[in-house]
Amino acid sequence: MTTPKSTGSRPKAAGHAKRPVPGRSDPIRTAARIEEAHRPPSQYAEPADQPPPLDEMAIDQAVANVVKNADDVLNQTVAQARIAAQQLREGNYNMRDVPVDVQIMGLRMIRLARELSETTLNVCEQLLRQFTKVGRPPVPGQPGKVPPFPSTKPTGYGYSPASQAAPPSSYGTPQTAPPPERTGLELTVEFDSQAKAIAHPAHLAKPRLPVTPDEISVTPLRHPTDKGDAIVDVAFTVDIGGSLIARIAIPPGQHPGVYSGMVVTHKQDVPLGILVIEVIK
Amino acid sequence: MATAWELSRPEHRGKYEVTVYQEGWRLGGKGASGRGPSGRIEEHGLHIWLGFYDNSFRMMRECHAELDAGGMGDLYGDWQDAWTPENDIALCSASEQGGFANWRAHMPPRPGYPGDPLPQGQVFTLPYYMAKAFDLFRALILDTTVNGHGVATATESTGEPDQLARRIAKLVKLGSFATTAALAEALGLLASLSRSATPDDAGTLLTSLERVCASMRQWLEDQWLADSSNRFLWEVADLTLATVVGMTRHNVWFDPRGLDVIEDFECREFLHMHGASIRSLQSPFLRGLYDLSMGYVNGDLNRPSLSAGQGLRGTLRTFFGYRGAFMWRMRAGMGDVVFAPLYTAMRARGVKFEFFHRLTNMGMAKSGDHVESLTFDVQARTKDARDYDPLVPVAGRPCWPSTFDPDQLIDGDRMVSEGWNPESHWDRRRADEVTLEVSEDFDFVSLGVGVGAVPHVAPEFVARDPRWKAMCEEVKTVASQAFQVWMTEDLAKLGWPGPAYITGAFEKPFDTWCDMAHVVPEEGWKDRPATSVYFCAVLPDPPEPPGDEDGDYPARRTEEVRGNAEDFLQGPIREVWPGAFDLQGNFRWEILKAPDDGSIDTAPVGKDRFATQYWRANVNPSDRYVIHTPGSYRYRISPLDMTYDNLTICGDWTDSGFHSGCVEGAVMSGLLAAHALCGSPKLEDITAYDHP
Repeated sequence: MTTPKSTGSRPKAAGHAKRPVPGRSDPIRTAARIEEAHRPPSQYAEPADQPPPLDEMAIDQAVANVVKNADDVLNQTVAQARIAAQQLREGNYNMRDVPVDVQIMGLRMIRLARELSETTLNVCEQLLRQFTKVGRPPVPGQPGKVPPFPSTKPTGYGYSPASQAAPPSSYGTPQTAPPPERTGLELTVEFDSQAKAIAHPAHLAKPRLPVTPDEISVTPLRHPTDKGDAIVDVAFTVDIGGSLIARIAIPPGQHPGVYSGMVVTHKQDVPLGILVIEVIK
Repeated sequence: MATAWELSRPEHRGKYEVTVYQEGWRLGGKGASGRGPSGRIEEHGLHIWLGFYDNSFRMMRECHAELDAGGMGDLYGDWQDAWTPENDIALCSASEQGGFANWRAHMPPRPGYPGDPLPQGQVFTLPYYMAKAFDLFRALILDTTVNGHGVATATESTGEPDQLARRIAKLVKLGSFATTAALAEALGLLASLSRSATPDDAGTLLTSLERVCASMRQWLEDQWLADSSNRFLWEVADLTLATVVGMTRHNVWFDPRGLDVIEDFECREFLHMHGASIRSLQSPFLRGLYDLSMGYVNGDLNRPSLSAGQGLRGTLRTFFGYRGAFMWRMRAGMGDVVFAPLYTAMRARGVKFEFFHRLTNMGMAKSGDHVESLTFDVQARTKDARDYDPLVPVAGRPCWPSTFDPDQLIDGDRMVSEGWNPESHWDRRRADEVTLEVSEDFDFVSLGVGVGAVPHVAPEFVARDPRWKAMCEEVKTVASQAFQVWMTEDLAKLGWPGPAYITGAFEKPFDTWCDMAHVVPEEGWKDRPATSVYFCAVLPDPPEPPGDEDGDYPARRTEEVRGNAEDFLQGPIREVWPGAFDLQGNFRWEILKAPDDGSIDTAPVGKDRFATQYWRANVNPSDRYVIHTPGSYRYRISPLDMTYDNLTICGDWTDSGFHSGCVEGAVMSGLLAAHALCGSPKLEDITAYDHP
């Protein structure tokens, strides 16, 4: 809060003081304008007719500039041709200069044609790109909610916040041995067919070398007594959360029973584990 | 305070007579701290200054220089004595093997100091940030460690052949160095593309980005499939890629609205729609950012909510805008390091401070275009109408006490015996009331309360001005909780692998904590504890907000925080401080150090020992922490707004250009308020006000 120098019981002024009007009331958010606003004042003004760089122009402005530039080149060329024609008419033509003038004109026309063609293509390309922008990005809220953060509650040692059970401590011996280290892959089994089947939990070891899901396979799933045909249509993928998924197609009429196969990767000899499913009647 | 600092600059030659009206006995609002028994520092929460707080550091550096020039330099020392650089951060996550995994990262020091003038020609643009991203990501790859095992730590490069071999072996474990290099190379490519991008190239850029991202995601996912220790890299890379793709798809690079284009999106939803995996969206990295920003609606941990634009703006400024160090630790409490020097310097300039003045009504003129009156509860009168002297010496430096000095106040002893708390919204006891009139007592007003208090101090404005009403409803705040412990054993002895870090994304309710051993020497202990540790987090709101008549509300919530803190020490903390527990698995309460200044006869034993520590619930409306929820930016009002002739506003809840609850947002807002009143400083001199 500010008060005038004469604090206290000064007579009330006729009107209240008013703040000066600021030059602007919002931050500048775009790079080009920030640079402009923050540029130190220069004693040399930039040429007024200097066009802005192409990448800062709107498409209509860019097209206008292209047309203007093309006109300039055309006008210059036409003007030079008129001078040459005038010189020819007045008998001032130097034969040694003719090829040069013609050459210059020819080259200029070729360059003009090339520039116009290239420019036309550029403009078309820009327009095409703008068409692609019709596909707008999603609007807020459309993609669905992302689940909240999971609890960071440690899962080891049977911990719970309210538990008064003896925790691990460097001062004491744990009351129970910690569970074996879980270094395996989380495997989810999905069935593609209408046949009823369930998967029995299986522990898969992690591959020793990096592998893609395509490099993981399973030997044909066989019934222990070979009562049913082996199930061979098994594909591995990874879901968005990183879990390994086995998709199994059970042929119609598959004999009920338990089927199993070894999950392998060609990058190592030791299988990753055994996949066990049960086809239900 | 930043507004007062600017208006009272010597360059103005006394043109503005500034008076600061402050409820209670100390400055700083929710940044205030106090000294309790044994001179220990008692904070509202955990305050760390980030290395991009250019405007804040510039103000404090000027303050220290001015004090030094005025012969008061020895009171507070040099600014570099007050802040020390910190480049290490740690995040925690539940480990798949049980317990917690600690993700640590060392941020590389960068040239200069916060508050230095920006290099000539440097402006903040998104291509600039992307160029910086490559360097940082490479540094992260090299310096990230997981549970002490380096991915490729810089400290290993001693040049000894066996160490180099081990490092190479680790790189090979990543899937060969070539793949790591490919990752870096791809990021370099993205940076190059970004740097040279124009609006018309957006389509090409997007196609390239999506191709690179798709192949990188596949590579990273394969790596993760084989080795979960790379998860941190996977998650950070995934989030980075989603950010770049999203910014390109939304044309953020070139839109005149900058990152405001995506302010209506929730940050994690935005990242998800542009390809980030659910796993990355639940990563400790992102959770740490939400925890630090307290981005949970009503403090409900099931409702994380931060706007994408400000979330990215804050992240970009945090990771790519810092100078000197990533973070700066304060030598002592925020009150001691920030508000005491400012108070001392501004007193010397002639600024007046009226403590124990609580604003109860900012009266609007009938014409509706200016502030006509200001009504205050005078909470206490000083004896002989002397100026209240708010500071006390602790360890040789002027500090704010944790409570008022009754000896300076009329009926001060009665206030103590009756338990007056002039900082409590619910304690309306007062000695007097005073009303100031426009043109007689003041010309201009800068309202600097927290946004949660605006309905209570400016009810006429909220009732008559739909924008003010909408601001109070839509600019959300959360309550917070904090506790501090002083311990006779340091964290290394308790099993924390250290060195000292700020740790985020930890178990609720206290997800963020920091070893504050460095402040203990500034306290007044006879027998110093080995360390002190500060914890803080959001405090969930009740279904119905408390009424003004609910006088017990603060006490109930404070008691709730105590229970939370005691449970926390007996629960999650055992995962990181195993040495704090005895053979039976009980927290060793005796390691808590009770004040030794005679204020406690005998330190309680067992769990009751916690009663000697410090905890608080920040539930006062003005203490509530402002968050940036999707779409809320359009309800913020700028200090430059000209609706009222003689009024401006300031605080981290205003449209300061940086819509985050932090010191820098508050200081930027204060500078804008000063500009609104006197045209100074120039807007171009407020660092990063003009920013995408």
